Amino acid sequence: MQHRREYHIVILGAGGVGKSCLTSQFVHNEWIEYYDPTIEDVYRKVIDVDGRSCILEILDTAGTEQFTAMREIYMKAGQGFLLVYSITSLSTLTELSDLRDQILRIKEADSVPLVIVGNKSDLEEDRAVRRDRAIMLSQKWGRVPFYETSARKRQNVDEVFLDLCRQMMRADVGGSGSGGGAGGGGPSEKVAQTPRKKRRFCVIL
Amino acid sequence: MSVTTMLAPSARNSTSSTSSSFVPVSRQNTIGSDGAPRSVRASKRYSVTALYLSMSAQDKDMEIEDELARVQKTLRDLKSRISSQSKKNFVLEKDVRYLDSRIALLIQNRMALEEQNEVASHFDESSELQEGSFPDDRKTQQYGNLFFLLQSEPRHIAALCRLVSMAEIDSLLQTVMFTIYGNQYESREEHLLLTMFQSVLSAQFDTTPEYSSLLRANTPVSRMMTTYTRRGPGQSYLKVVLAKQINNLIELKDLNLEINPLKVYERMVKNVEEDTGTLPANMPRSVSAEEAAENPQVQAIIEPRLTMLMELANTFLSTIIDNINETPYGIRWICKQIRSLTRRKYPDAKDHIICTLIGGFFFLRFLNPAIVTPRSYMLIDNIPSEHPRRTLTLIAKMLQNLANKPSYSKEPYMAKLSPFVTANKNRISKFLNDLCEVGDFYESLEMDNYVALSKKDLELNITLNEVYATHNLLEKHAKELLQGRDTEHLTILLQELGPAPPQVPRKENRAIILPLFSRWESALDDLSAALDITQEDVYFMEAKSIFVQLLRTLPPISAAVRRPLNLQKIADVAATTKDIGTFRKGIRGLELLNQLKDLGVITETDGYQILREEVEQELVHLGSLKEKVSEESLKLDEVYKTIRDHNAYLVSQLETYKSYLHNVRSQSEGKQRGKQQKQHVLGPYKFTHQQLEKEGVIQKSNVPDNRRANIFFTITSPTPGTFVISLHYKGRNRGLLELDLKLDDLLEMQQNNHDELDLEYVQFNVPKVLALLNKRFARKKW
Repeated sequence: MQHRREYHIVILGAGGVGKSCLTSQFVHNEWIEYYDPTIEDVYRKVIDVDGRSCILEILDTAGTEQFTAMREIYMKAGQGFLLVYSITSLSTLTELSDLRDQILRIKEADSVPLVIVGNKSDLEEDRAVRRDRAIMLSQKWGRVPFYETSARKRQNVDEVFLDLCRQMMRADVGGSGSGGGAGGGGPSEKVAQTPRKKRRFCVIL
Repeated sequence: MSVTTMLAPSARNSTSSTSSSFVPVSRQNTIGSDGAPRSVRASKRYSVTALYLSMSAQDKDMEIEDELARVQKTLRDLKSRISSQSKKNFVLEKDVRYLDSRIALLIQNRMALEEQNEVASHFDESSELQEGSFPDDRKTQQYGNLFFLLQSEPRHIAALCRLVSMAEIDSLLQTVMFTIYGNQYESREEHLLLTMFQSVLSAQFDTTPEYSSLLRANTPVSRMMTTYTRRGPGQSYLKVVLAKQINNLIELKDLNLEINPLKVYERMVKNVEEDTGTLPANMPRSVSAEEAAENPQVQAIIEPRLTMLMELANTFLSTIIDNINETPYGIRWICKQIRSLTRRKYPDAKDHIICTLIGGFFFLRFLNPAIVTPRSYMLIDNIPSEHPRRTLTLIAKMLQNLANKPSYSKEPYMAKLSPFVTANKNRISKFLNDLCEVGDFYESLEMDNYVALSKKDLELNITLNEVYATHNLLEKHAKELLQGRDTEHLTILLQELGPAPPQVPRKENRAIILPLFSRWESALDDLSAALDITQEDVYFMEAKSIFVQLLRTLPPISAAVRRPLNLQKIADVAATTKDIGTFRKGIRGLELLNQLKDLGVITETDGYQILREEVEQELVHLGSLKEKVSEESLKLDEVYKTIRDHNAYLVSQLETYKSYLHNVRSQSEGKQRGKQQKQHVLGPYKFTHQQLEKEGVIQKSNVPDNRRANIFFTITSPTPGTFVISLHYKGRNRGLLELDLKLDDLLEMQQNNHDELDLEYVQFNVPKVLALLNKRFARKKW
């Protein structure tokens, strides 16, 4: 019971893709019928991952593009990210690339715990994004886990959060506390020698 | 003098801003007809106004130099500077955004050299564009005609906006909002732009099956609305309603108004632990949200905060409501469109749904982003610290809840703020509806279009690449575009132009002045026929215009200008002056009086009463106009200043990226050369304490005054982008203190507004250090 790890998850994605619905289903088991655009909401949930209990602090963010200036702060604080799009709109998928770029820049890492989520899978008749589009993206990013979910029907909701948790836990163990940087461990194209750390003082009197 | 020549004002933006007396009939004054056929009378009234307006608009014969003319000129200059500056900012913002997205790859050294060069080229344009022209006249004519068509028939651009991708929209919007309709204070362009909005919005309503999903996603339409709110008028409005309160709030750095029980509990635990060193047994480190909410201590902390938050939000709301008349016309008009489109397309939509949609634009996309991130909206200078930031977010959330009225709170603790929603429900509905109460502009637009047509020298300041990019988009989406109705002209023009040229390199891009014209609509030779007015009206208006001008030119001490006015005498006096312009006016005035007398419009017996009264009225009006103009100038001065500040901010951001890029590139360059070429160390350079203090690099020093002369610093750069600063005391061999620095760390500090670089004995100022390093260690560039 003691020594629970606490993880910060940030949910990102375009407006109206169902970030809040996904979160609400996961945290409260509730489906939100009414549209209520988010500015910034925080939730907490304790879950059990492979026998280990951990606390998740989940930050649900604004998809409305006018609020993008807030993202940087979220990305700094987040350890794992759900990048959500809607399978009914292709542009919501393409928006994810910029988000990932920004996360990597802010985290100064090659990879961070991350899951691609294609929501609204119950709206098959309005599908505008084929599964393989998202799979391609996942490949391109180094086999980032990808799920299609339905917040309305509560399909795959727990799964995406669990997957993200496992990634964060692995990063926690592997990355010696530097935050992120686990994952695929790509070839040596990164500037490994420059872990650009803060200035150090050496007072020689 | 024919009507046409009188109707040829020279400057392009002369319509409303230069006319001596014309108050735009549009704006709040217009009584909306909402699509109903307009009455003949109304039409005639506008026509006459159009005529009068164009007559007094510009008269090259005589330069009026009274005070009114001077303040008007100031205002006009200000407006055109704001227009062009906000365009520059838009372009800069785009560059910054682009670089923002590329820099990640650059840091990880994943960018091919070619692309690095492309990135670097974004810095080239900081200097002003050179002027130029098209290689041949035919192209100039073809493009001139194309852009005239695009400007005066907004439906083509509206259709294009719906077709382009999110990747294409930015460059299109730049051209549309800052070039084609770039004169933000000119009624015709503003109204054409709004017409385009209307058609885009209306199409969006048509294609959205249910109103619940309207205006939600990020689409070209939403980007369009954002871009619009960032033009001059939107910016100055935000400043009026938000700047003061936000600034007051961020002053209170330590005011913590967190009401999330979990967060409150956490902090409480932390405080107890810090104060006493231990935690009491009944205070576990982590609890569930429900437990935290039930904790009496937490409740006691939250209670007064709720009251305060509601008071704060109330102040914000009141200021917004009280300033309804400051809200830019265009923004209110968009609200109005949202309301009327909803009513039309979804007849069963309840009033509160309509309010929600209006709120979805006004609060969600316009006001709240500025409240939450005020720095990006130029409302404050620095990023607010943690507590005020949270407070601002909570206030925005409350306003959002109020506008959207969700039936329940996603975050349970927000429910405690529901008294705010209950208390202000009616107020907000009324406000959102009042916002929509503005007149339409269709009639005045028609009038403006008449006047524009008669202008001989309508022109557009545009860049080659803007022309080509627009042409390119038109070509790319031609198939869908030309399916629309009334697109024959566009079809012909695109055919004649042939394939769109590619973008030219930034260095070869030119600013050109494109004369606009239409081969299908010639300047109206007989405006009076087109405007549906009689010769009497024409004479009467011309006479009025001439007498007003004369009264403004004649010396105020002249007996002729004494009241009651004697028109005959005024014309006589003018006709005997030496000034050729005044003389001509005088003669013409006399002629007109006779003609009007002959036509029976005025009679000498009552001292030309009808005309005299109108002239007097006009002068009274001009008097108050002067005050209004001065007032507006003051306000816009403020706006201009803000925009310029923002420009400086953007430029400094670009500079930051520039050094960043330079640093990364020289690092990778160094690596490539690797062994063949030994890295050469730069420095050490020596700086005295006094010198650095003078330059402001040292912002604080703990070194006693009498020792300062003995302190000096050396800076070495062992590899590009890294520096070693050491502090020395005269006579000692080794430095007292050494500090390893990376350029990126400094840049990051600067970006985070972290100004101090602590060297124990002295404190450096980060931006000044950067400037010093850039100057002293500039290696050969790209």
